[in-house]
Amino acid sequence: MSETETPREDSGRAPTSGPGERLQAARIARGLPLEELAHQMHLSVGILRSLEDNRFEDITAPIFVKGYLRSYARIVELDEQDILDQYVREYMDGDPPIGSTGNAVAQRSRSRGRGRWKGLVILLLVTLLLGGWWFMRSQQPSETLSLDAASEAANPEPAAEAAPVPQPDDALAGEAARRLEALTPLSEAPATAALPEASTVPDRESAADTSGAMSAPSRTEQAPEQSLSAPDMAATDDAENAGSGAAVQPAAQATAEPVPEPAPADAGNSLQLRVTADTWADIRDARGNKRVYDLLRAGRQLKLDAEPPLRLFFGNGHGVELIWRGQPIDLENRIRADNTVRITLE
Amino acid sequence: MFSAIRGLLSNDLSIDLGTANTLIYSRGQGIVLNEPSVVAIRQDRGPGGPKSVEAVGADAKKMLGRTPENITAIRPMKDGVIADFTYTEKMLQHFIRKVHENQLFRPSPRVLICVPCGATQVERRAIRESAVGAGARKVYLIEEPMAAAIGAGMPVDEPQGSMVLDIGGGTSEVAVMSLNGIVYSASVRIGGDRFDEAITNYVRRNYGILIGEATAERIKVEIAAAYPGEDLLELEVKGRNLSEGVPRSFTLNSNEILEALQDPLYGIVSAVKNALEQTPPELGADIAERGIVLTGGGALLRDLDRLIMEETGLPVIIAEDPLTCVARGGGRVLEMIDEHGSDFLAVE
Repeated sequence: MSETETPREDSGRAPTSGPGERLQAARIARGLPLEELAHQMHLSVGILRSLEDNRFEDITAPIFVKGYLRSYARIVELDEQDILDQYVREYMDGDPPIGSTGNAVAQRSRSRGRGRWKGLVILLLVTLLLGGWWFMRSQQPSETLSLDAASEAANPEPAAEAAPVPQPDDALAGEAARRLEALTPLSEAPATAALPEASTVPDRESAADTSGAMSAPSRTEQAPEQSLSAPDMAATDDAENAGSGAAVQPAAQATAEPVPEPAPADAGNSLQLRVTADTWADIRDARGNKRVYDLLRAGRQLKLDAEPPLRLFFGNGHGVELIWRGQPIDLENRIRADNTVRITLE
Repeated sequence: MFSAIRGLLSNDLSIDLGTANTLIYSRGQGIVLNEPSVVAIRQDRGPGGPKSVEAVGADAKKMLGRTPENITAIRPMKDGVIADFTYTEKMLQHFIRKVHENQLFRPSPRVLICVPCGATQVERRAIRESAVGAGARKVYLIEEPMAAAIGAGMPVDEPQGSMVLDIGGGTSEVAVMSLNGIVYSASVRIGGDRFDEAITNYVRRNYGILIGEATAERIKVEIAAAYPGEDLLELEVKGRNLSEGVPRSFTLNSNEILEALQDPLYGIVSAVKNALEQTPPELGADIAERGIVLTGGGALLRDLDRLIMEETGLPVIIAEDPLTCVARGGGRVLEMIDEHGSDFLAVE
């Protein structure tokens, strides 16, 4: 009966102060001793005391507290749900009603959620970096191009002039030399022809000797013919390294006449190439056609008219000089470690 | 690499692949699916013709026992393990898709599946394979009572004995756990299905009337009790009279059902008693002080806690929302795997 003493003091207070008090009051009202209840519930008196005193933290996990409260309420015929709700409301903090395991889990789940976002952010960053790198790469050639275009725009006249001035085309030089010779008067011919005849065409001299024509007139008659052919030969021979002797000046004059015609085209998309050391060259035009795909020997010169963009590759970057639309292109800082050069001209 | 990206887009799932119901818990979303483990198969053009899945889950359950010749409604799980591999895979596939319905890509989630602790190696592997076949990126297995205890909120990580009794559709599992491990576990192939079967048999024996599975289940849910109570519940049911061959209606009361359920109930009680016998004394003392926790759909059987309490003399507590304990516990374990490693996981 000592049990009924203490509760009475408690029940003198507000009966709704806690689930423990409410249960205790109901038990006392039914005249049920604590020991009897403990026997019915198969629980120790200590646990029931903890329940009645609202010391729920003494019981290991909330699931047990709830279970005990529920069966206690059932025995004393109180509304189970009402008691449970009050317990949840007043004695459990936060939504997850689980003890140690639950709290740990809740924290872990949060950090895992963060991990998931981290993964997505990293993925996004990598994509952005890749995109940026690709953009930079695709930007690089067009940047040099715009530079070219800018310099071209800055001085369009030199570009037009530049086309004929640098290395005149060998074929043109030869042609010009021949025409010049053809135009020269016959009287001059022997004098001019004599030199080449003597020095460069000894076999012809011997042939003339063996013909037995010793008379001067006959020789002079023959001379113009030879003079015509000899410079012809000389011009073509010299064609490889034009620029010496008489051929140069005529060439310079002669080009003045044919150039105006191709000049507009040249100013457009002409590529000139001078090879100073043997190099492999691979030049492709916009349609992917191989315009040059060969080993170029030192001293070779090339001129191309091609539709941009032109893709160029040289095996020996130091052995090539490029002129694109009349502007020399500096290859020095494009030469890679293996001596190769790749460049796109647009 | 690609599957990892798809994995970012899929939610990790914890699946309680039960004999009666399949529950799926999705991380951060809670229980997202609770459907009967039933598949309806259509087979046109006679035997040997092509088979196709007609319905899965609740839709298929409605067909149970009501199908024409070309449709068969089957339950691919039996006694907590896979009975029909192909249809279990189809069913899982359907459920996994269903919880990822709003996604563009084919889901490739990490999946944690609960297996009965009595499952053999072959049965475990079958479950793993079927989950992989259903599109899971990675499959973890966990023993059901462990998941149930974690889902119920028992302090399994403490050096204290915790006993859980999980009564499912096909099996009942009883286990004692301490320090995140299972100390003792046993599985008996008695569950909700056996209760239904017992009711069907009782009605046939005593009334000469045949009732279907669905009716037996309704009787169980509405009036069955495991312990004689003060109030007597009655239910009118219909079945086919075996001698007359015509449907008849009759009335059953809860005391009759209690009698019908004696056998399976005592099977479970003796499993619990066995477990208590096998439990090391220190842990047994902890259990005696705090009690046994009931989870699983079987825990909803009226007064089952009272029966076990009277039989064992120990306090018995029914977990909150016992049906979803296993799936929720699995979900928690899934969350812990990343941080903690796989303490809880079952080996194959």
